[in-house]
Amino acid sequence: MAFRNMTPIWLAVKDFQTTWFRVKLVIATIIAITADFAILFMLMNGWSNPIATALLLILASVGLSAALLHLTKRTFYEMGVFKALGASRGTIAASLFIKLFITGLVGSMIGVVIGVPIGLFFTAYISIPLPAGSFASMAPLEVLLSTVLSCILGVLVGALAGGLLTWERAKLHVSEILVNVK
Amino acid sequence: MSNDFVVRMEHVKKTYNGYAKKINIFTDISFQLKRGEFVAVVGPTGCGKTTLINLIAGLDRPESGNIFVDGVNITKLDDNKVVELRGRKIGVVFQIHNLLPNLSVYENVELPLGIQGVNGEERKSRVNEALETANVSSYAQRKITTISVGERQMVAIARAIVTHPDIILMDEPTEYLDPFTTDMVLAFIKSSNILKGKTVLVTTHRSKVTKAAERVTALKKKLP
Repeated sequence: MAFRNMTPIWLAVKDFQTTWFRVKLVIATIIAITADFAILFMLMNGWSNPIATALLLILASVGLSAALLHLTKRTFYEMGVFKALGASRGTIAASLFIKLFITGLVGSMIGVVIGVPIGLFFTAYISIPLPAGSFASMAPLEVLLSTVLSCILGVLVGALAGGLLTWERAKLHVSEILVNVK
Repeated sequence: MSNDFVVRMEHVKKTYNGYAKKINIFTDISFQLKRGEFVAVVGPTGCGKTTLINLIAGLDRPESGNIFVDGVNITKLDDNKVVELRGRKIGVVFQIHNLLPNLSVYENVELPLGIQGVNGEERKSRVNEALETANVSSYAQRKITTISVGERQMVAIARAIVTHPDIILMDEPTEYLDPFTTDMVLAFIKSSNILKGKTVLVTTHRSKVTKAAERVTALKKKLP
């Protein structure tokens, strides 16, 4: 019984294995989006520039969500097979949420690791007049935390959207899912 | 009487949406499968053989009518209960296999048990039993993409029997197979101990399959 509760995690691992090629592409896309986000976020003086930050956050969230939703779309066939073999709607949606969240988290964290040093380099060597409260006056740990939190937010939005979309799509009969894909 | 029939379809109607109009696959079909029998369903392309399997397995829903699987009317159950019942009682071998190409043979056969939450040791022994029964254990670690169509067919059969279902539905299992592999699949269905006492329904075009079956049912294609 205890194992049954782990079924979504087990299924997510299998889903990772079977869609690994697509997952790698999505991770690469997310790395690029997050690194760009981190650099621009810092160049625009982070939280001290609320309008620019809000725009950037929306763009990054949309980008991350789009990448994760692409992966959701490409997991349609696997979803049909899992359902045909006895997986419930809830199990399928939960396993996809886990898969998307991990994919997004891995991609965005690598993006942050790449983007933050580049952003710090630019803000340190390009003499832009930085107001108080900008990244120039923030400790590196604060910079990192702000960027990481923003990315986690974006990933969470994308993974939730993917999970909900899957929940909706898993309503379809297996025959409809498999016929639509093949 | 109902105990004799493991599957009972009563006055089932099924339509699909076509481009311009609805296509009637079944207007009023009734069909029974006795417990433990091996039945072949024949008929021309488009007569509804795959639809019949989809309806019995709960992979699709009818517009009207009742379908009883082991005494349970699956048309009255919600989706999750149908999925759960299918996982326990029915093994399906799809025409196009529907195996996951990036997983190994072993992992594909393991999937239904993992989904049902069968634990590690029991899962391992049941997967090995299914692999050996279907004679595919020698390439258990190979990916699906690296094995032949005939071998995939046997893997699909292994995946269908791994949960020890009472009913096994096979959608044209010999469709893409050469005569030698067709004989192998038929010999397996007829002689395998794991299939003894199980109800097996096979849809087919092949006379070899119908000769092997205990009962043959023909579906006719309705003219438009």
